Amino acid sequence: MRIINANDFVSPGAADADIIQKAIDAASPGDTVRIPRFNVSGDSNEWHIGKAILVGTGVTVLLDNCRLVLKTGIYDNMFRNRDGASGFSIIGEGSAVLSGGEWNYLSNNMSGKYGLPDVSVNALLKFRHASHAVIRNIRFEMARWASVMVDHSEDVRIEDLWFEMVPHVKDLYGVLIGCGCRNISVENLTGRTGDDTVYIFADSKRYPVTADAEIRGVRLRNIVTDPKFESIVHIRANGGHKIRDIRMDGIVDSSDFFDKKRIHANVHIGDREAELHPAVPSDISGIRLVNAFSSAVNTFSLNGSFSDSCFENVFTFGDNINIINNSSCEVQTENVRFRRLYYGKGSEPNNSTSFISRYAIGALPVVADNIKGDLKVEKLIDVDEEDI
Amino acid sequence: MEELRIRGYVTPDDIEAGRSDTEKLQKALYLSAGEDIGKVIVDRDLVIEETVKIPAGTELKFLDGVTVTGTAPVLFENEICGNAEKASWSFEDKWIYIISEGKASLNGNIRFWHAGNLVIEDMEINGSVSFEFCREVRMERNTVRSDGDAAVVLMRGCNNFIVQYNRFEAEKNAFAADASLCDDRYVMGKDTDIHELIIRENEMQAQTALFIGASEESGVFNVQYDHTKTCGTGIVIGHENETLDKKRYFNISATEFTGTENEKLLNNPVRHCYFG
Repeated sequence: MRIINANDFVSPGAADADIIQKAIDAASPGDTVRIPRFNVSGDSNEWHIGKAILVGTGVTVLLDNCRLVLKTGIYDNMFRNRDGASGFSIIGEGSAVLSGGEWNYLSNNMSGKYGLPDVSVNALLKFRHASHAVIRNIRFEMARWASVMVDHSEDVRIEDLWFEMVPHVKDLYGVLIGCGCRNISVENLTGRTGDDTVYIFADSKRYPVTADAEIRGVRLRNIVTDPKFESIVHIRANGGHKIRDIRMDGIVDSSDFFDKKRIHANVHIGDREAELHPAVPSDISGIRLVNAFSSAVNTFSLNGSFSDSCFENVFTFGDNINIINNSSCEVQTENVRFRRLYYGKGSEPNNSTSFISRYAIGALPVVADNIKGDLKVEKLIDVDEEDI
Repeated sequence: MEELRIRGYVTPDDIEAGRSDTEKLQKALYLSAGEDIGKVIVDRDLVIEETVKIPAGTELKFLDGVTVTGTAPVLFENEICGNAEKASWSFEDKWIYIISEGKASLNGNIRFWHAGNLVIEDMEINGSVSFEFCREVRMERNTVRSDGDAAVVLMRGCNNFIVQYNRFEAEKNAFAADASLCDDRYVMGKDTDIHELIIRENEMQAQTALFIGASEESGVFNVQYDHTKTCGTGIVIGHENETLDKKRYFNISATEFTGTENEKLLNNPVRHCYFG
């Protein structure tokens, strides 16, 4: 097991991405490629990445207190896996920063149009057909789109990530989990993303609907973030895609409610633009959540049908308005339970802009005009109720 | 200097000979920060006679088997502790990592004030660790043993802590989140409540595993405490003989913890707490 230093592959005129790629190509499975803070070639503490660095099977890329920044004007990821790569890791030590640098004007709306590539090239880390991979201890700054995108991959651990997204652009997801993912574990995410922190999306526009495309077995734990007006966790399937077995434990809203900028939801199922080939209850199933703390507009925003799910221990505070809400089309539910939802009758109007004590909790716990089917709220605890 | 930059870290013995361990470590930390190297590795035992200040943006890494022993009341603190002017207009110290490669021991107390984005991992600390006005902190896989009242203390103004897979031992409280406590100056513009704590899968040996305390001005809310192996009382909320409004303690979920004596003790009314 060798430790290979990227600075050992400097050659005259070589771009930083090529230097790192040469180091990785020289590694065998079990080796670690260390990217140190100081870039000898650039004589600086930054590595400027002009094209995706490909990581192969069994290699650990150690980001040793370093800072990697995407070059201006490029349309490429920072790291991708070689197809089928397994057992690789990208691990930060100390303050390891991956930055999108300046935005390239490629957003969801512009994806694939006017000669521009698919927006997924803007993901800082993009893994496809990967397995047994670990991404750990990385700071993401100024991303251009999702910080981490994973699809058609299994047994991937994503943990200890910090997000510092100045939302200069739209769609700055934290971790995007796409079709075909199995056994994905996401733990300890903190900071501020510029859109949904964890976006689990089985998109029929991007992937054909096949049995392989199902997303199954995602574990989210200790997600303590501010997703800037959007949702901490967003689960969405359309066109017949399936999502199953999503377990969440500790979904915590850390947005600054003094700033009067409430996030949309702790958990958002479906999409507000519900005409986009909505799911039926059997498409999204097996969602289990324990422990959510929310000052969002809606703790749960239900805009898509789903089934066989349970949410318990939900605590609201600050300017939370609705624990359960639906804002668009009719939603069908089957065997959905909510247990122990803690809320309170605020003393201020819903849309008050005055300073609200953090102890005044939203006025309406459940607004569910369009939610049909078998959804039961088993215990709703008002602020004035004795609840021990 | 170029050599240190290329190497990527500073050690205390990179500092000129003839200096004490304390001076060497402090100078190594300042050199690392000043030259933007960002990392100090301690590769041998040290005896530290004064408090060593850790600058922002530092990874302080201890190699396997290293022991650092402090004789001052505080072994490590972040740089602006005690340095900020009254009213504390200073920026917080951010991005400090204290980690061990293997098994390293620190004998002494560690404190953080007005700091953010802190990581303490894989350390054995024979002393207490305290935080005041700190946010976004991760403590994992540490052993903290204190002769004093508490192994880990969160004082006023702390939020967004993830604390898991640790072992905490103390006489009175293994882990205390007490918003009535203050040690250093107030930080202008910061709220003094304690909130958003996730404390789980720890082992706690003390009279009380988790103590939560508030004051007239500052409360504790949004706490998730679970899967904790304890002896003594599992959770105590409120100081003895306390009569605060119950809104000082709210949104507390405490589940799957065991206490050999009482499981929970409520010294004050609480709001929206679940014990399961």
